Amino acid sequence: MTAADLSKWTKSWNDNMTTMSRVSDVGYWNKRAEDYDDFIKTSQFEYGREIARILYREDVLRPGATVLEIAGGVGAVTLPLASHASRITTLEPAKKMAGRLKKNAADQGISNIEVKICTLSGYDKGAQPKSVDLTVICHASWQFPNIEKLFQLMDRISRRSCCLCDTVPNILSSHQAMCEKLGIDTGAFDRALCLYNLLCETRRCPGISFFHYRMRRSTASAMSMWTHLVGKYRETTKNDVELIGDHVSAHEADGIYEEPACMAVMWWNPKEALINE
Amino acid sequence: MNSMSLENRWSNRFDAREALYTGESGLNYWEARAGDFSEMRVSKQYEYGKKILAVLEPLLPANAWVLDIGAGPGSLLVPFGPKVKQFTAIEPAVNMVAELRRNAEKAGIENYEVLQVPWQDVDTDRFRSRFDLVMISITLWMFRDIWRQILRMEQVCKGYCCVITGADQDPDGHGPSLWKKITGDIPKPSYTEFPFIFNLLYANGRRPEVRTFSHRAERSVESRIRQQKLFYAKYVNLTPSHEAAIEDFVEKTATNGMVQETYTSAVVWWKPAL
Repeated sequence: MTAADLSKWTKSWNDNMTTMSRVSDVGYWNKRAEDYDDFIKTSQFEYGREIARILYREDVLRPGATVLEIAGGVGAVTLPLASHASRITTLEPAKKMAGRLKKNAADQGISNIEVKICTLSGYDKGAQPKSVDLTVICHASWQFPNIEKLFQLMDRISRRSCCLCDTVPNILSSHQAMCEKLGIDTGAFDRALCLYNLLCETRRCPGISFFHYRMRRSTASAMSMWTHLVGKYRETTKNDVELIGDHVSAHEADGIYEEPACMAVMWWNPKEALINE
Repeated sequence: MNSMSLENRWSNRFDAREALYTGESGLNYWEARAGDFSEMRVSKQYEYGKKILAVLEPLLPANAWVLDIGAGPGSLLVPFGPKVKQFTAIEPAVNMVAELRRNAEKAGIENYEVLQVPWQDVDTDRFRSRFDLVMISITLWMFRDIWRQILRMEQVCKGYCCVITGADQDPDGHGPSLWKKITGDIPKPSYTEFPFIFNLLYANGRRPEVRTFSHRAERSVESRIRQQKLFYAKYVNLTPSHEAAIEDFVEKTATNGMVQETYTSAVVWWKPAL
């Protein structure tokens, strides 16, 4: 990799994530809490369980570990990790998401999760360096256009390991085609590929693993997801609702909307040299 | 980022490297390097090969057939031999093969065969879908037509393909200050394969797994000096002053006559496309 390549990945991330982080704000995720909760529960926490399994297999998550999760959402990853960890602190700035997470933990009888309604930057001010064994962020790195800052914060807080997960574009999924049909530019940008190269070029020597899973949710949840997604970019029209209805109908069986998805799981050991104390 | 642009970048880098060579850089270079390379790989009880085995062993079926392209002195043969049914080593350098046989004999390993030819000359039809694991360790940079060679690896594979490559910033261990002292303003060529190989596979629809690991090596000062002189002789006609600079550089890094080295490598593996 040349110096030009290094700046290319960073620039690419900044360019693509600046808009994404602006339109996907806390207000948006409060509106999405209900349909996202439906997705995670209908899918039986599938991707979170697989992430936990990989991290355990790779000795990234050890029994009894302490974990900090950034952007816990409704607990998709939090709850599966909790069965391996001694304690998880999860940061979730969207109150409705955090409320769902607490309820899901209670429903499963899980008591080793502490939910903090705040962002990472809000939490980081009081966080002790090397205060947890593992930091995890899944489906939320787009909140950080300055990605090196996120990496450094994770490095600073983690004693042992850091983990970042994100969705990989899947040619079998109809998601991108549907976005094009709706005329919304959610971007075909491959976050996982960019993140992996950014970790490599900053000499973090990350491991990576991929897995396929099914995104399953009720048809009502799918309608809500697509409607809110359009709403991030413009007013939803009657035509949009019809298009979404047709799309959901075409991908549902027995009231469950299903789409294939692929996840990348990346992990690395905290890089001491980059810590800005 | 598409495959064609990556392949072009790879071949351009290959050409740039070749254009810099003024001394022996081909097979004869590796004939001369066999002794010191073997010493490095055998050191620390085959730590390099054993750590690779630790990553890949879960992928091996019972009675596995394994192919190693650019097998060198048996860096992988010795750790893998006891775990597989048959190990095929492709290695064109006579002296490397001699080192491999010597190391295998010392380890009591007999379940192997050597094809003493360059990988590019191997008839892949003869071995189509034969191997459970096809490995290539720190050798890909020698191929200009990288994607063609990867597809040939896939042709002979029925399980997993694997590239093992340095993941250090200075993967060849030649300090930038010594490079400048000996070669002047010649830009240091890149031998780095990682994460380039990941990106190339990804661009072609593979989803490669990657594990990185650090490993140590130990060799005598004499061996390290010999290796460094051979390396720099690829680029310049070494003068007594160059040789003195190399000796001084190596001796400063030694303790009790031995040089300790630590590297980071990446194991990249994937299921071939159907």
